[in-house]
Amino acid sequence: MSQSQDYEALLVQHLPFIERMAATFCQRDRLDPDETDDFMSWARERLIEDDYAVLRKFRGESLLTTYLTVVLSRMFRDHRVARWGRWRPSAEARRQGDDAVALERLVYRDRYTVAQAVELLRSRGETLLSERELYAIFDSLPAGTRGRPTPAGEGPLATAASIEETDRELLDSESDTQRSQVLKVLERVVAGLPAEDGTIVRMRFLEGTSVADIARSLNLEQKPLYRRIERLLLRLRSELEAEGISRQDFLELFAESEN
Amino acid sequence: MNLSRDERLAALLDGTCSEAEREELLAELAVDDDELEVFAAAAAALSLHEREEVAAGVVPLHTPPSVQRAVGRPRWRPPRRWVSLAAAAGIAAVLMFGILRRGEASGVAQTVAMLSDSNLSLPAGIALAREPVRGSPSDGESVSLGALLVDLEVAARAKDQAQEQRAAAEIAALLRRTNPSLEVIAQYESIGTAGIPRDRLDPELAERAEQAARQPNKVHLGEWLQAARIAASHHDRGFFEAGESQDRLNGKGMPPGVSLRRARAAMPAPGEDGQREPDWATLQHELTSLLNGLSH
Repeated sequence: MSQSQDYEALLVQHLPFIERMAATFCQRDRLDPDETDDFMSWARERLIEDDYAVLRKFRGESLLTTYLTVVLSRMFRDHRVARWGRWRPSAEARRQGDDAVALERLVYRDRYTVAQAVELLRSRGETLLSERELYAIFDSLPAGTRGRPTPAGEGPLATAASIEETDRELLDSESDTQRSQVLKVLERVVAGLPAEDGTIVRMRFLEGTSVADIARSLNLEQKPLYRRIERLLLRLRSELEAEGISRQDFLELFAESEN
Repeated sequence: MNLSRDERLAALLDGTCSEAEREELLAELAVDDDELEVFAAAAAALSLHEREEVAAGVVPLHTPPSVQRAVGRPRWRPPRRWVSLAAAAGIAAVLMFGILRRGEASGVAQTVAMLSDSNLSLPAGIALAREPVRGSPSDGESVSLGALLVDLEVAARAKDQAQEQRAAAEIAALLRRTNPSLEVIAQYESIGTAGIPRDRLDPELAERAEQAARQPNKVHLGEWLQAARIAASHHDRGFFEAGESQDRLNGKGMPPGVSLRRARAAMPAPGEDGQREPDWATLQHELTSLLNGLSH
């Protein structure tokens, strides 16, 4: 059997795993079935291209399944950025569930107004929630991390924004400025921490990774990690307060990092 | 050796890189947003995958030999993470009373497997105060059935014969009201009077009871709610960090109009003071209220 056939067989053998993990990434960002199919096809092509270059690069320093998971994670990120810019669902929206993610996606990725998004979700039968409940959800989502998507062609962008939307944009803009200030301080604090502590802080508060998952991914004991994060959080908050960022502001701006 | 970025991150996740490599990678992750995102998402996906595999009784110990042949690297070092996982899974497998037949555990076994093995028991007062419901099977009965199946599973693991008999007798009575011709009723009645035969709970028993219900989703909801009450009683934080628990708390898989919002609010958030412990009393109260409401 030729080497190419070996790699082809290897890929076929791991296809169920690959599809399962790819679906996990799609589900995490609540992609709809068409978007999920789109990513699946794209990822399969990337795995095959250049005569299975992804598999050829593998040197056996980790489990192949772990390696493939990282590869797919990067592919998913690249795919998402190429399609929709830097937008991704906030951890807070993920925490609140499908309705929140769908709402956030329509408004911040697809650029519908909030009223249009609410109407769309209800008219498509994608939610059982009332208008009032959907507005309440939207208001509970953090403004600071709402990425500004790269427009992808014609679409609802052309729709004129309402006065309320304009006000919201202004508020968002203020929030973004404040968040940017927090992030600068955060970067400085993290820079002064040992590398492992810095990674823990960023995984926990920027990526919204659970303590259990941080422990698993960095091969750390879970119970002492809670205390460690507690100490890091106190230090972070004290430095932020010294910069004039109140605890309340901190909580609001980082609400999306809650699990 | 020139490893790809992806393989370096994978080695970090598997714990197979050297200390120097680990420090170097952590330093990169502490400043590079894109790498951190890729790493964190991969970690979360792997973690979810592992939990599902363990719950299903699958212990992925190593890469298939064909992988090593294809990549021409016939060496494999068991990562620390997988060794500890294998040990934990081994213990879980023993505790699952041989439920792994046909490679699948029953729904209740999977739910109970999310509970911490240490101090696994039925707390006092955990039994639902139920009033018999007569007539056709209702949603409430399906939820109750799920809760009772968890009681029996946990009691069997804890070798608590009194609770085994209580739970089995209640299951038998509930199934009899639902469909008196079910064969499985006699087995539950037998456990209800004499305990579990040969100290081993037949794994097919729960499956057959689950299948008898017309609302399997509601049975599984009852299973999760009762297991969550037990976890809250034992301050078992791991249970609430498991994938299914996170989904439930976030509203996924919950019937319309049923919300765990207040239970979720009792869980800690990273921005709060001192990474506080969950508010176990509130959590237990909310879960109990919800289960009582749904099972009547």
